[in-house]
Amino acid sequence: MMILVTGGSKCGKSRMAETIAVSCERPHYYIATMMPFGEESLAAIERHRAMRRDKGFVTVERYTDLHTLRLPDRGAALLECMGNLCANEMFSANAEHPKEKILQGIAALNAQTELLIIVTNQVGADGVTYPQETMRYIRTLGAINAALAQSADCVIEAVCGLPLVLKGEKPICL
Amino acid sequence: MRLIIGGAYEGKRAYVQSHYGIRPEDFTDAGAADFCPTFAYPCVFRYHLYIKALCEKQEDALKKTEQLLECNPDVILIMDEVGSGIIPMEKSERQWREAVGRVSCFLARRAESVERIVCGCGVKIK
Repeated sequence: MMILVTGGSKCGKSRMAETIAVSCERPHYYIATMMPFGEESLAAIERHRAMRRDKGFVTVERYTDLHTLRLPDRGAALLECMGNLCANEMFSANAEHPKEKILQGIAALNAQTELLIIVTNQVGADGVTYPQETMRYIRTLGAINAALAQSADCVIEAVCGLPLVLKGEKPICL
Repeated sequence: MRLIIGGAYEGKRAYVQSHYGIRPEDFTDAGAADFCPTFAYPCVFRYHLYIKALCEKQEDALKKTEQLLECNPDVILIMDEVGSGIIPMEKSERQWREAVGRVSCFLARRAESVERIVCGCGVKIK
């Protein structure tokens, strides 16, 4: 079972994804993709850690090369977030084919879990024409999101903390 | 309180006029410099710009929003969705964008209804 949770900034995606993850039997893995650099990302990481506290997640930090990740047990995995993983692969690892590499990683992860929840971002709706590299990022993340949605059983857009189901059935825990 | 959200220029005010009978003179622009959250309003629009002004003054947008709701339990609140783009380079822009997201989650929890306007069509999401 694979569920994709998308949405804009601070729209309640994480909380929703966590609620879905903990509805599955343990273990619950949290696959963190944000590199801990800079004051703001550290603050964001701390905020997310506080939110996950007492929910029983095992945190696995993985910034690139998702395809090599091996989880010790089956269970639920929450990957947060695709926007960071995509940026890491494109701009830190300089992956030649970031989309294919990431999708391969997701397929490998999906095969190891009962439930895989992927948090991603909507980044293409501000109407701004950015420099070439940023446009390439928007295009790549958009293509990854579309491919993930195609193989996902359920796609949810978080809007003001509310779940809008774009594909499949709304999980009963929401 | 009813919350109306959507992208810029999606027809939010026209929707509120036709669905809730709000007259043009009953709309209050929260983006105006003299907007005060403790006055009484039937309908407030451009609330995301009020949040921007609060962020610039380093004031707590959630707290001010609570005050607004205390004084206006039946208000119709219109605000833009601004979080679905690239993370802004400017720190103040990032803070504003995040504050708008958090305030909208807070408002949605408290709202009697939430409607999202796309191309002038309202989608009731709560």
